[in-house]
Amino acid sequence: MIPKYYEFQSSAKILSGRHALENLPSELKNLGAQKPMILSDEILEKIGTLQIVLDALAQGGVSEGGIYTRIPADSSLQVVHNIAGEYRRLGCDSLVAVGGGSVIDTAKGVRMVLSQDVDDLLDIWGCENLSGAVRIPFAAVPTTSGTGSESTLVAVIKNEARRLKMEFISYYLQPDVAVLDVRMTQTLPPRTTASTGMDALCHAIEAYTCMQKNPVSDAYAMGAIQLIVQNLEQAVKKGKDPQARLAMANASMMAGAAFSNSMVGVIHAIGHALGGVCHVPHGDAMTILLPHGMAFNHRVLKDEYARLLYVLAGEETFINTPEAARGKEAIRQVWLLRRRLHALCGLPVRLRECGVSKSDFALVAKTAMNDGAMIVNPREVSYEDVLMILEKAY
Amino acid sequence: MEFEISTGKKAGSFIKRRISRIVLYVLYGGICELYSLDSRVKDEIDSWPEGMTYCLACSEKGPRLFFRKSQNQLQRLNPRIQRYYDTAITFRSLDGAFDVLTGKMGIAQAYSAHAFSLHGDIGTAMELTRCVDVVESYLFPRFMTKRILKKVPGKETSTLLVYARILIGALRGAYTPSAEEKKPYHIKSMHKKYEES
Repeated sequence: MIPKYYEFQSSAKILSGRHALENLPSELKNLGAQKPMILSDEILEKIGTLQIVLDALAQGGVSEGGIYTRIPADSSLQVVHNIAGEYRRLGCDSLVAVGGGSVIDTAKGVRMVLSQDVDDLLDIWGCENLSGAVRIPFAAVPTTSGTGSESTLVAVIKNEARRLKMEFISYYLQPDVAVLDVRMTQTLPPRTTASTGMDALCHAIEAYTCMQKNPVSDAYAMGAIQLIVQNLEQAVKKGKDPQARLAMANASMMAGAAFSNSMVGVIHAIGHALGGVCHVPHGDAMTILLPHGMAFNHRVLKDEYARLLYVLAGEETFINTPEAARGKEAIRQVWLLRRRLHALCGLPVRLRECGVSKSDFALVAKTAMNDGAMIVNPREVSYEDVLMILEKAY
Repeated sequence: MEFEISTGKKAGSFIKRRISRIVLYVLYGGICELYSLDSRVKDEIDSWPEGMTYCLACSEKGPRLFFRKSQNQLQRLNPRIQRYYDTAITFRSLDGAFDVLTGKMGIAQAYSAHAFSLHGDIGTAMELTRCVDVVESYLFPRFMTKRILKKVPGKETSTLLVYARILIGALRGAYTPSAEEKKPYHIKSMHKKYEES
């Protein structure tokens, strides 16, 4: 069904596959960038992943504006301001982010400070409240296949002083270029591959079912789910398989584009709260909560879940399942995938495995209720509902 | 050179602006009265920090409602004087705001349709939207709330009593805006746009 009104934007140019990184210099030139600042983290620098990108840039004749690798696991307001200062001092003209969600979100923060010409990100904190000011060319090179940050309009930045995670949503946060190159993800350990892959699956499923869904985001979400179902287990079993890795990178990007435009719901709201209160890694939280959140929403999403069964389990299962039971069967398929991943690499399936205590539930539920994702969940969620989902996932 | 607005659109816009202003007034009255009549609204507002200031704007140049929490009660602020807030919901068009204020669309539906932008913390906006959902369940008839809310909150008191108290409040001047600018919980400079305009 077409919504009465919707908006969709996915503006990042995708460079995917063989020699994708080697084509980055020409893309930067197309964007008018001559002196990019490279953002990454110390681990990627240490294991040589960053060097692959630097080699490609050097070979393409791009001058180095500066390299900043002291980005923490959670993007931080202070780091964003430091990098923006460095960028101005060194006279850089563009940004290249090489890393996972944290590095790319940090780059988005820096881009906001620079392009909106503000000294403090707090001045522009909000949702769809930015206007296009100074254009800063920005390329994202993801090194995980999960967050989809290379194609999203969302950035989460930690404010240490106020001890909160600030969420920014704006179409101006989408990178200009996203580079999907298997050399960036081949070294990911199986457990991380599984966890980030489940995060991407959760993005796609919630994107397909949230209130902002629309025909275009549906197409991206369906495509992403299909790629994940066909390739995630192979990527976990055989990390060097370039086909599986490239498919997962594409799936993550597509799921990111989907949820950027239709948003995510109760599963992410509780997942964010579990991350903030109990420090549960985001991918693990998504893995654990996904079937429980789907079961909670099943009452209002029977038809949507039934349609998902086709991509989750294939044509044969879809045809052989009675129409009325397809929604529940889709949830069961997610459950089975999770169980197989648990057997393959020990992916956690219960909150108790992640060090969560029942005494944290009240604070987690209170935090989740104030998460922006709650508003677009198709079923009304109460504080008691969140507690019930947490109990079931424990 | 600005576009010339057609007479029909101008008249429609004038009417929508007037009605929106009235509904914002009644909405504020509803929040104020339900603070003492409905435990859910009371719990939400009690959780706000002292000085927490909200702005609800029907488009950048449309009618605006400013209010803040002050000494365990709400205080309406004069939109002509007040510039600063902690959280602002600004509708992108007067038409979008009109649909929400006249019960054609719920806040969640408006968010889904990108009808407004938000300045500030999304969490504090969630607290306000929960309050508005409860207030709407009293102010709008059930056939409307069933259409615009995902789940209609149960009533803890009668709609008639709420309307009566809003009327009395209006007559005794309980919703008269403050004559001076007040300091929000976190002073922010996000309101530059309004200062400039």
